[in-house]
Amino acid sequence: MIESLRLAAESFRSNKLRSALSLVGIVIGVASVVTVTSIAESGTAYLKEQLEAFALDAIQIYPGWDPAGAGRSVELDAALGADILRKVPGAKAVLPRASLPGELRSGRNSASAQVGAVGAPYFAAMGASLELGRGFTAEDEYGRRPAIVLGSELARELFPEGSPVGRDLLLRSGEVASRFEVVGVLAPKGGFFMDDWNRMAYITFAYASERISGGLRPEALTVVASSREGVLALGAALERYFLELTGSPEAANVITPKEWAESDMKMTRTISLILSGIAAISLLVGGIGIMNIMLVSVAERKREIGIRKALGATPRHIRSQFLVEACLLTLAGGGLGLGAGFAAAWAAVAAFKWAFVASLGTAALAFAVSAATGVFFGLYPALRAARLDPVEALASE
Amino acid sequence: MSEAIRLEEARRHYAMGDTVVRALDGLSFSVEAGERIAIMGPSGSGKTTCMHLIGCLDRPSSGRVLVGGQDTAGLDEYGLAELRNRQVGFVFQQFHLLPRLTIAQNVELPLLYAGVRPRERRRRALEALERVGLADRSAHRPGELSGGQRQRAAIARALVNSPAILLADEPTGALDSATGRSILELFGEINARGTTLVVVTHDPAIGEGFPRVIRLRDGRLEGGAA
Repeated sequence: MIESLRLAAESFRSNKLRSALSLVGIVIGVASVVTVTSIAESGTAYLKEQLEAFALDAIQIYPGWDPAGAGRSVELDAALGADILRKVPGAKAVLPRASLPGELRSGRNSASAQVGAVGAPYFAAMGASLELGRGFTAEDEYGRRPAIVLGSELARELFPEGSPVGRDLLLRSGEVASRFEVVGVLAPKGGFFMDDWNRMAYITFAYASERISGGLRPEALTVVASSREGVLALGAALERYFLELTGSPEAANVITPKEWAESDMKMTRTISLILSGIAAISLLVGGIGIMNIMLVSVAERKREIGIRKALGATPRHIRSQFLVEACLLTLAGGGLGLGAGFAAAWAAVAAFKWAFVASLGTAALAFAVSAATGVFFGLYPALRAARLDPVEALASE
Repeated sequence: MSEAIRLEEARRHYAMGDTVVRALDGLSFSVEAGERIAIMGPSGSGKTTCMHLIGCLDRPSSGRVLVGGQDTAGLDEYGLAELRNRQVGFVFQQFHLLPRLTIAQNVELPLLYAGVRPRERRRRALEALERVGLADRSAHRPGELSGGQRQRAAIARALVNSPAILLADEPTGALDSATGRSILELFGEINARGTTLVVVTHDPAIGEGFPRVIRLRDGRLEGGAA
């Protein structure tokens, strides 16, 4: 075995360029498999984390779309909210949500941002936690107080020097400019299927609709379930409620957060499966490259094989020599591919702002697959070498 | 003395398309252990095929070939490889050293296939190289040696496993005559220590130096007697 390794190393040294080129296929194959699976795993881990952090007891209602134009979309106004609370069992609160474009200024720092106009318990309902200060209170809402909560990134931009809580800023939206007091800063949170929390600012819906934009209509309603277990039943009850109200199943979009995240996860899994399949094809091509180079090597070294046989090498000796050579090639390719794949996945994952998950399973898989590729595609050339007739092999040039 | 080699009505026929080539057509002779013989004949006489049979690289189509008392007909590829490894040392006209290996590594090869441990292999390879006067060239590669030195290295490789038979195929064919003479002298010394020597050649000048010559023509003994 050690002898075979030494012989294989010897053979690579004398055929550096060829060995390196035949590796490329395996490197690309393994790298693409590792990249795809690592990105998929990191993404799934991220989605899982999101799902857990996400409030599981809030349901979003978006305006529907009626393709026939027969029914109309529901108007997501305060009256509807009150009606839902009265008629739909299991609904604890209905919170309006809208957004406005805004220009924020604090001293010499300014930034433009989406400004969310939300009901007071919105952050709690969405499972968003605060890094500094507090969220909105009922007093903020009913008193129409000019209170504002900032996303973490936005807070750093506007107040680079220390805590913004208790400080003033100027918000201009459309024709209206008003002064707000920063009451809280949200903890950083990834935004994948949600708005980018970190770059948003939030004020109360009541203030926005009365003082900034008259007649501001909610773009969505957040319905909070009275219990976490009841959230699915609440979703179904809401569907029924809208069907009864409008006569059309398309008039409103009722989305539970679980559904949302799960459909995302399913999609990630499907995409990664498809990409892995494509990557596996490149591995196959790499394997065929190895087979080709091994067949060339056997043909070129026919006389060497004949000499070795004349000196007492059995078919098994010859077979293992070529098999070890093929496996070393593919394992080297697998190692390089694993490194390249992890690097590529790490870069991609960093761009998505996910946490990188370097799984041992993927690494083990890469090595197993490349060793198996070596055995599988090296076996035929090795068997051919082992079966060579020594007389014929010795006579070859 | 015991028999080193025995051929009984050995035939080797090849099918070449529709025709059958009778490379050996009923050859019988035997060689005693420690003997020194030359096998001679023009090209196409069957001497190379005869060498392949004695060297266990090939088996007869019919008849018997015994090497060291063992009938090769009953052996599979593994059995032949082992017999070859144990009984026969080959010396070829073109030396057949592996160019990527050092001289010492080349000489070690038969021991490698016999399953000898690395330290012991190295020791015995250096010993064999000493015998042929090449101890100081052990770390060189074949390309760095002269033709005569390469053939000496090949002889060291053939001897390293202490085989009963040294089988040389035109061993001086690629060498100038002075170097060729020194190689034949080396063969003489090796034979004097008890190794059976079989040299296959078409060169009558070489044949003259041997006490016994087996002459082949058309796959049989010339004149029909041994």
